[in-house]
Amino acid sequence: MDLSFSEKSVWGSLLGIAIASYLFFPDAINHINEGGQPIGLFGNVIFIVGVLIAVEVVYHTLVGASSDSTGSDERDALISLKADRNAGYALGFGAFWIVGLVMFADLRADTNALETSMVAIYLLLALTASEVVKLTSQLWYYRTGV
Amino acid sequence: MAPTRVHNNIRKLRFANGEMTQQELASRIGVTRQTVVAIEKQKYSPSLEVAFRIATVFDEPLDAVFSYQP
Repeated sequence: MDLSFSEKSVWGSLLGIAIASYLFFPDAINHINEGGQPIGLFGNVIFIVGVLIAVEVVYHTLVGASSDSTGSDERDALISLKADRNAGYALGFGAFWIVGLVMFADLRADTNALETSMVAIYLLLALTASEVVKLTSQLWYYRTGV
Repeated sequence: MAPTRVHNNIRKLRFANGEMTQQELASRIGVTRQTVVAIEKQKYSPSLEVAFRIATVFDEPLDAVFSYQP
């Protein structure tokens, strides 16, 4: 595939977020479900975000060195704007989903959803999902046209 | 997604102008090579400004480079 620097950058970010999510969310949800405190996850978040930033910097340096140009143009900007719009929809959906969980938690036998720590995890999940929607939208528009 | 309805003769014009490469055209109009590829394949309609820049590079009027086919 003939990829521009911007498209390679999106692939790298998507892969990074996918791996970071895989490392963080299952453990975090187990931790909360087992009665752990959210502060116990703080170290994990800092570590994973730190590693993600370091890997992205190295990745972008390598990709930049092997690309014709590291600049972006009007097509990149348009694709980014359209992807941002889709990410906004995803974040809105996630926000309503969390509001629904909180509002209707009393109707459920399992009241874990009411716990602040679990709401925080769901919020992080919604933010991450919106970022994934943004990146996959960008890749879709790069391949199919815009 | 359906290709854009804005058709173009860029590929023909590049070859008519000393087999200009996509990279060279991209550099002259200030976009990436992949954007030139996308325009040629009708996967992207350039802005009016970029369209005029392309026409200027080939020294042709805009409607000799682009046409709209509804």
